[in-house]
Amino acid sequence: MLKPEIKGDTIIVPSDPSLIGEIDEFVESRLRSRNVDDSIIADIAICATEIANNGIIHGNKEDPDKTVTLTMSFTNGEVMIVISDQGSYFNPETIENPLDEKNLLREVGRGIFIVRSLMDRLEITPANGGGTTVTLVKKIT
Amino acid sequence: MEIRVTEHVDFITLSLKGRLDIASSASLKDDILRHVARGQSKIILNLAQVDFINSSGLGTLVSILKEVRLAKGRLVLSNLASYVQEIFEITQLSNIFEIFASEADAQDVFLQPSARVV
Repeated sequence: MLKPEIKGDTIIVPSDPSLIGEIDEFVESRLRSRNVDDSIIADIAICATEIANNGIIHGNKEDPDKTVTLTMSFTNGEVMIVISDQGSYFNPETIENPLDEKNLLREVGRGIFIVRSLMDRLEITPANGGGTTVTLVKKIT
Repeated sequence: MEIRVTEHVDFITLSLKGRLDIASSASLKDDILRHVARGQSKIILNLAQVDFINSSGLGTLVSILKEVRLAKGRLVLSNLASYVQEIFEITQLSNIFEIFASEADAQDVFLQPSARVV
């Protein structure tokens, strides 16, 4: 079975959706060790796993030879989480507004919207060598 | 995810425990649709012990809601943790789902005379 690789504040995860729980555990444990408030941890964990999930499923198309890399850093009372996949670039402009009445009963399309709502900053850029890099920033103190 | 089913005369309650995400979504949907196929389409989902929900979990709940409505049933949610409630409000799914603070409040919608199976 494929396993994530952890190096300090970085986790490299093979493209298997069943490993999302390990990303959640990784993110939460590092925030908890810095005594971050539980509600902030919950917000950050859902956002990190939403983006990692997108990278595994939509970016890497669950190709087991491709990985998603998540790195956390802490400065000035903020956490920055950078998540990159190895698929093709995902253009956020293509996402429809999930709050439009016609989209409210859609079963997909809420992930990025939730992330935008819960994080202080969200940036989506092309990753080096293809794929997508998503940067999340949130104040934790 | 653990699912505990309590059968009542007029409805069933499913108490969920654990993460509501892509890993648990398919089994939850299958489980509920089995009840719907047996005619048990008046359903309370007690989410008190759901400690994680993401867009995959929300999508599954929307899918289940649509199936229940197609079967002329009714799906209501109860006991959302504050974090889960926040996600429903952000996505405005709080306007789509019937959400109750307690399971007792949720039961009332099925115990009203007009909601009883005759």
